[in-house]
Amino acid sequence: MSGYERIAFSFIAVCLILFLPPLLDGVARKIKAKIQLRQGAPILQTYYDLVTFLSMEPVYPTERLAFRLAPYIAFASAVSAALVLPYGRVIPVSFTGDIFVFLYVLAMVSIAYMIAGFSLNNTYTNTGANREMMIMLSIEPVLGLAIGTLALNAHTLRIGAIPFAVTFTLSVLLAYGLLAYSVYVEGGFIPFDVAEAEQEILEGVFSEYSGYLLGIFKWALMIKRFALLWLLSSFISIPLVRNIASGALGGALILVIQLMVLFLLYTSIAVIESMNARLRIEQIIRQNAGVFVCSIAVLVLAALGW
Amino acid sequence: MKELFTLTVILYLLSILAVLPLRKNYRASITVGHVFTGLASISLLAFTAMSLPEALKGKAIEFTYNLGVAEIPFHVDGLSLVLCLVLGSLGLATSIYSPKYMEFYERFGRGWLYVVLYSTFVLSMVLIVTTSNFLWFVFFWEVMTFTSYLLMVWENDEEYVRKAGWKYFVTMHVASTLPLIVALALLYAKAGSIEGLNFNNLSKLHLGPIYYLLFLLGFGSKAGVVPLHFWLPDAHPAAPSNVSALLSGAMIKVAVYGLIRTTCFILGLNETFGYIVAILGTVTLTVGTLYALKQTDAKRLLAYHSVGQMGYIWLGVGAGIALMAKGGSYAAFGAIAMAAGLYHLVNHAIFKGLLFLSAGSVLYRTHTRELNVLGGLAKLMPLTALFTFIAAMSIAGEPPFNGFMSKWMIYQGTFLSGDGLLVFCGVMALFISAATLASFVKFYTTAFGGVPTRVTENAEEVPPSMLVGKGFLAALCLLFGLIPSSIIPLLLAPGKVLTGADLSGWISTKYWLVTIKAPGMPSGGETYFNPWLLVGVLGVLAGAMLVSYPNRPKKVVKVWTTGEPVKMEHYKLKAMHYYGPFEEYIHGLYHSGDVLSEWGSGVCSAVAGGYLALGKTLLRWADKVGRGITSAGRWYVENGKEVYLDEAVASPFVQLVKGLAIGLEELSLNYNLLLAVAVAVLGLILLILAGW
Repeated sequence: MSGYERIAFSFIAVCLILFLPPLLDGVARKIKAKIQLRQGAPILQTYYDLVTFLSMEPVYPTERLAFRLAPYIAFASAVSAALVLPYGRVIPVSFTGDIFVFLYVLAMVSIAYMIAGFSLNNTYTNTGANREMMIMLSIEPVLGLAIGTLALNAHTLRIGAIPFAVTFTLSVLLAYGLLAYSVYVEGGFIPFDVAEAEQEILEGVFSEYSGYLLGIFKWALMIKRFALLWLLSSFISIPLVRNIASGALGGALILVIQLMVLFLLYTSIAVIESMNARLRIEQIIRQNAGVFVCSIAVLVLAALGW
Repeated sequence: MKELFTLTVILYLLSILAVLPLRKNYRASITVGHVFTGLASISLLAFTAMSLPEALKGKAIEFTYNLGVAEIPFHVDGLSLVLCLVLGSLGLATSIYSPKYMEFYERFGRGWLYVVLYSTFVLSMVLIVTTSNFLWFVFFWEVMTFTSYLLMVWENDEEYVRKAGWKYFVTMHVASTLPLIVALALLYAKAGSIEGLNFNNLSKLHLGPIYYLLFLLGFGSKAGVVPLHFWLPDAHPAAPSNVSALLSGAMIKVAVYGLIRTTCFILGLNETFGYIVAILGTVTLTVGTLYALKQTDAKRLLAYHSVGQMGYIWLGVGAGIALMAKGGSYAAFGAIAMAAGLYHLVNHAIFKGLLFLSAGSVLYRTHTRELNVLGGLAKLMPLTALFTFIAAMSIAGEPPFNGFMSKWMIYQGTFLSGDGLLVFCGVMALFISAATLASFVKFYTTAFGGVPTRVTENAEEVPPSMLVGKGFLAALCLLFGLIPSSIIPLLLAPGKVLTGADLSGWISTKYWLVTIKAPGMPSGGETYFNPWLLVGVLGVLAGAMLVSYPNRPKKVVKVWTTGEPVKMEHYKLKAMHYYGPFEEYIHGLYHSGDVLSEWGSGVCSAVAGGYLALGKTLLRWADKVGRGITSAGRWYVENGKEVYLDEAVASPFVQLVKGLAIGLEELSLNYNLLLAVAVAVLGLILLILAGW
């Protein structure tokens, strides 16, 4: 791989990580509006919102460092996690190749969110944080089973190597399904958006954030969604072209397919979102636990070599 | 090197001698005692550092103490050094922390006794992990159990402390000491001499599966493995916090040492046994941590997490044993899995020690450990808050702290094992990692988050010496997280010795980069992690944002209450309300855990009951025999001639001998008769022999 390819792809990656998520959000909003027979905001509306937030001074409900630093840590973690994913054939900053490190760094976004929420005497922020933690608790075993099945099949935990090494058996296909489900739940899409439920608990932790702190935090959450979906889209698109893609041109091909799959995923998510109503937290826990118990069978299948 | 070890032992003994003249002065005795124990810990750390090169080569340091009446042989290899490192670091931290903290217990007096017990306790652990004779091992084991019991019931005016201590004492003797003593007796019967009980000699014997069971029971109950964990959440919080730190940080680790030393080095690697250990570990980490999730007593919560984190260690070690026993290319990978378990052992000792010291600091200033009434301490005790945060993130397994590195290696060891069962264990470990995070988010934010409550409003930062003790452990959390190469080579040493495998192709640690390869991995599939690059990227990104969007609150407004006039203390979630729906959902699991715990408790009390019944029966028989003898004596005294008891016992023999002598004397005068009798006797003997 040439140095130029590295630099060019890394540059594209950074631009995608920082500036694509608001666009995806705008597109999703538009699709939802169309399905619900509304006019909807312009596609670029999320950019406008972000710029407005970032230009305003925040109002502080506390002097606590945990609350004040949380948005910055969330932002840094989300971007760092996104930087270890493959863009074409390039990983921009490879402090790790391991899927667990990726997930743990990404989880720091949620941790910042929870610590900030719990560090205030405010029942709304507390409740938001509380729900975020419970969602994480309920989805973690499903995610684990998906990764476990892939690891049994591909004999590696490296993000860049799994899609190249995986052989498509029944269990792997099911594991892809579980991974997609986990990504959907972790991303906090409707009906799993209880932690930031706007009408119900005043957007949870965000009820006390304002100005650029709110802007940075919201941006971080969008980047987190992007990172999760980019992981899924890489796992889907690389196996499609892994036998024909070589050289810089092959990298470009992979990147284009990754982007197409990402848009496809985001569109389908918007469709699902527009047709669902928010679940209650105990319903989510019950549902995820059910999925976990059923998906143990997937691991058994994988262990049997199917 | 041997000299440094001897110096450690002498310093611990000196600390006991030094406090004896200070029996009247509580504070002076504790300070002087801990100066010596602190020096002893430093000397132990120095010994560890000096012995490191030998251990890395796979060699061991051997020496013998000749006490005149007995000889204690020592064998210090990589596995022993891992434990020496733990005991040295924790010992140093508690020695710095304790003098101020023990003022809290001044009303009980007897500072000198505390120091005597503390030194004996720590010294016994140091000797357990270094001695190479099973008899001495069991002896020091009992010393450790007994002194830890006495330290645990230090606060003996509290009913619950006495109860917890008694539970500990009975359980340990029935479930831990008894199996070890049975094993000792069986081994002695085989080996035939005390020298034969040296580990080296024992490993040459052919020993059956019963020993695996005895050691599993003996060390499992000490380590708090489900279902033999029921004593731990009561016992560890009962002790003063500095002792709790040693109990949870060091003592239960010594049980892991014992397990590895006996079952791997003496009995030999066994695949089935490895799976049993891994599965027990998985059950333990699940049950322990999910129970911890609903605790609101700070120290009880930490104790349940000790059970849970112990499960991680057992999972790593168990997977290691199973894979090493499998052999082939898995042998080397098994050594990595075992190193992961040992890594978590070291890390858990450090962050759990720190967490107990933090809970102790909160107790020291607020006189409570109930999370429901605490709050807002981050503002009043900022450094304690920082150290607690570091420890909480370490145990929750967040990068770049040490807990993450070891959990990450455990995930590698299980997920890449190519074995469905171990992968499932890994999945549970991943899930429980989230539960640990939940629990410590609660622990930190209830005690330190929010605005101060009535209980905490007058709290202030703890004295500097306590902070230094905690700061030392916090620094170690960062060191072992950021520079894994500082410890991984040592952790790999036991696996290397056990398998004789060359690990260079499987794991490499370059400064701070760790790369792991597994059997069957596709090319370019190695996993790696570079914590410094992660910290760098995070720092640059967060720093850039901070520069662009500076964070200086000019004015702080009250939180928004949607216009309701609500009191601040009513406007925050209490510890008991955290994660309510989730706990309600897994209610069934709590129930089955209760059943398991009751079962373990039942087995233990059944054994204790059986023992008691046996003792009672023996006593009754002894009583009957005693009564019989007494009544016979009385009868003799009343009805017999007036003789003394000894005469009564001896006189029949005397009469017999006398009669014989007279008879023989008569015989000896008549040679012919004598000869005839002799021939007759000879003939009789010949007849009997022929008949046989």
